[in-house]
Amino acid sequence: MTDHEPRDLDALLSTSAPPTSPDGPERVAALEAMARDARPTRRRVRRPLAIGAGALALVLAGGAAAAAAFDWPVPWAVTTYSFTLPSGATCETAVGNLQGPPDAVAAAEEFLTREDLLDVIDLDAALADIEAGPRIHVLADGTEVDAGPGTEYWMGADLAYLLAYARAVGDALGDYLVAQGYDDSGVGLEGVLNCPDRELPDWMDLPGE
Amino acid sequence: MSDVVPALDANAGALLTYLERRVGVDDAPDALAEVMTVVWRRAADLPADATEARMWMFGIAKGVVANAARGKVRRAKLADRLRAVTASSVPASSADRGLEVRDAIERLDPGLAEMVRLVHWDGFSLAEAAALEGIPASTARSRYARAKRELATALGLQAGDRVADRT
Repeated sequence: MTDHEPRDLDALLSTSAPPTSPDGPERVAALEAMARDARPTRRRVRRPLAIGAGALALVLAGGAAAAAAFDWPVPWAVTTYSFTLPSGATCETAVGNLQGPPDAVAAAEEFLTREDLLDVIDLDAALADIEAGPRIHVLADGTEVDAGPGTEYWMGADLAYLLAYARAVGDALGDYLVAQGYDDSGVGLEGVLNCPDRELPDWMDLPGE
Repeated sequence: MSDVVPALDANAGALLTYLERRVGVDDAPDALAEVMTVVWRRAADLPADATEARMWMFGIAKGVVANAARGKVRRAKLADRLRAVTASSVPASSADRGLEVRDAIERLDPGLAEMVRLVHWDGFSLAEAAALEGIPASTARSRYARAKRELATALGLQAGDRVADRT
């Protein structure tokens, strides 16, 4: 160590930081935009469980989109479970971040972690409900057209199955909480779905199905 | 929740710089995207006091850095615009500046090294660095003093510590 200027240790340390991107209007603008874009959309939001609407607020993403959207495994998950889509692709769901009265949250956790969770949900009923619609597709010119089963805009079996799973789990959880004497609308949770072999459309980021 | 935007606006630049120094300029936008996402998700926990809010957000960034070290921070679409601005914005020639000192810091015990980084790179006081590391201020002072002694030896310098100046 012979060529440092200055040779004062404090100064050396303070000037040893790795290079960083220079500040400037473009950097500031990008940061400001990012701060606003990071606001939870339905892709990430933790929201109340709307049992009445048959909704488990799942965040859905597939393939590369899943990798970009969140870490996996999900650190906050209370439980995870896997299932297979009609196409044969496999998905894994993580549910957690429960919010609400502690006793209701504890009851919800108890239900979600039961080993036979997937046996007690009514997937067929949820799927029938999804298919019954109504399903609307909005064309580029704003025209709304039917997107139900059999139309060219129908989501397909895999995606309907995914939505049905979210709805079925949400419905079953709501039923359980009500049966236990809790206000199901007071419990919120967050869920994410990882389907590494199945690309999912952006609109599936919308929970509440 | 509406307080999140001004809090992020006030600290995003410093957070990005902090992250760039720890995970690199290329990966920092993704790490910052993760930080911002967590801040929004935990908006109810955002301290009202600006200084406390800043420390709280740096605490989140610290966790994201730890995840990054485990390969847990992934490319985020949210970071695309920022990445386009910062990518290749650092002249390659500047990467070597301070390299010998950084290597010496890197060889310290991790707890000592981070005290040096927080104080000299990020401009935190020792009290703030202690809070961020979750250690008593006295421990932070002793770690910092020890770090500088070891660095002075490694770099062939006299430490000349004025630790009290940094509390």
